[in-house]
Amino acid sequence: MDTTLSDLGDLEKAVLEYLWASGPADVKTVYRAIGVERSITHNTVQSALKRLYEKDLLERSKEGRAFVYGPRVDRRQLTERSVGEVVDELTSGDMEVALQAFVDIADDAGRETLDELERLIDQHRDGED
Amino acid sequence: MSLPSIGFLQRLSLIVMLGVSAGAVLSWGVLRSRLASLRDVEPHRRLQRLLFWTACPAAAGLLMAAVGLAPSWLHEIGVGHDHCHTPSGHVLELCLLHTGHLPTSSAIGWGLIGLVVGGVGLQWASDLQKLGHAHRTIQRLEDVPRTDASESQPYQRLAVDEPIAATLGLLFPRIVISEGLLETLDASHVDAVLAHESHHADRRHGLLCWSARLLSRLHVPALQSTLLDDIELACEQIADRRAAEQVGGPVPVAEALVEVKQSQLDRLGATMTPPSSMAFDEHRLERRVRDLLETEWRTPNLWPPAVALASGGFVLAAHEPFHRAMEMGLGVFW
Repeated sequence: MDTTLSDLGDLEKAVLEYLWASGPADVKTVYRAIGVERSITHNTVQSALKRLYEKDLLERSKEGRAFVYGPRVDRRQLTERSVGEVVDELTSGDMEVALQAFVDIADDAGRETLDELERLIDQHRDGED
Repeated sequence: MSLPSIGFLQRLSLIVMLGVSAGAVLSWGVLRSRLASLRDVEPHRRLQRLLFWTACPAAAGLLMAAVGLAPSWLHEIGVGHDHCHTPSGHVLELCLLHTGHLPTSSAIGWGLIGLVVGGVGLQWASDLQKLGHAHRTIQRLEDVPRTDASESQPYQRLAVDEPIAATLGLLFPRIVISEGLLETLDASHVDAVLAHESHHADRRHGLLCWSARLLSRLHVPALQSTLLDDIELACEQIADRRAAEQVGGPVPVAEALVEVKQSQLDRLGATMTPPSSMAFDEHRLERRVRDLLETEWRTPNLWPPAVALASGGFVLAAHEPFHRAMEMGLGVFW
């Protein structure tokens, strides 16, 4: 299943934001940019980059002895995945305890019923006119 | 007044369960023949009636607890007399005034309590789990950036094609509308949808339905889903009518309902998930449209709830004989 925004921790999101803004970078560069201010270690940043690579959100290439990481998906694609996942939840019926839908997706009124209702609406619209 | 013993708490719990059960049976007896007759009652009045009956078992249980504790409390605040010393062959099953006479608990009693509380507790646990899941889904909407256009709108715009318009959440409800829906509907229909959902949000219908859901678990199982469906339908119809008032008539609201359903069918195909439960034979959507356009509503008075409240008040005011009857009944079994 594709990774979405909700599957990411704060550090992972921060790493992604940095790479989207600045382009591909090695661990040291990312650590200097976002690790120092967070008072976290170089290893922690390295682990975050590795996790994002394993989640297929980053690609990497070897330059010398270090890996350089770059984004595999852009912000829009990741957002779309997140929205898609939320929408699947909204339309799944599991949200019934905290959702009032304008029209319940589970209401199985078919096209015949809708045609009949349209005729009824037309009668009333003509009556109002 | 002494602290309640385990035995006292057990007996009080059994009394409360008796009240809840009586309330559930009474509600079932009344509603199974009268629910259909509520169909043409004006939605707001219908909702009040339904909520009254939904709360009936809980209210009956609370009334029994109040009658059980009344003599002790009234004596404590200097209003009632010490009823335990009146000559009547009185059995001290529900007394917080006299130490040394506190009843012991019994295994059968705990078994009965466990059975009933376990059954209701499992349902509440399931409801809470669903609520937690729904809450996490709603929180994930925070991750979704708002488009520039939606900053000034009273709803969150979802960048998806699925036709979605809904109010989410209980305490701080938010409205979400999808771009797919906004592209399908014209301006008057969007106004109707927004007016409808705004009413849900303003009236906290989500919180009301959630509370009704918890209370409904005290009812006979055969009645639970019917009650909830009818309450939800009444909330939808109230929002439909308020939207009709705002947009100048019922026709735009009815049109919006049909358009949104057609859009759902177009998007998701002919195979739809069957409804979880329907109170009536006709579909809820059909009923909403027909009732918007055709139904002449009845507005009966609220005498059944008024009679019930008066009866409860009478029982509380004249609690003595009821309290003694409780104690005699408990004394028979322990």
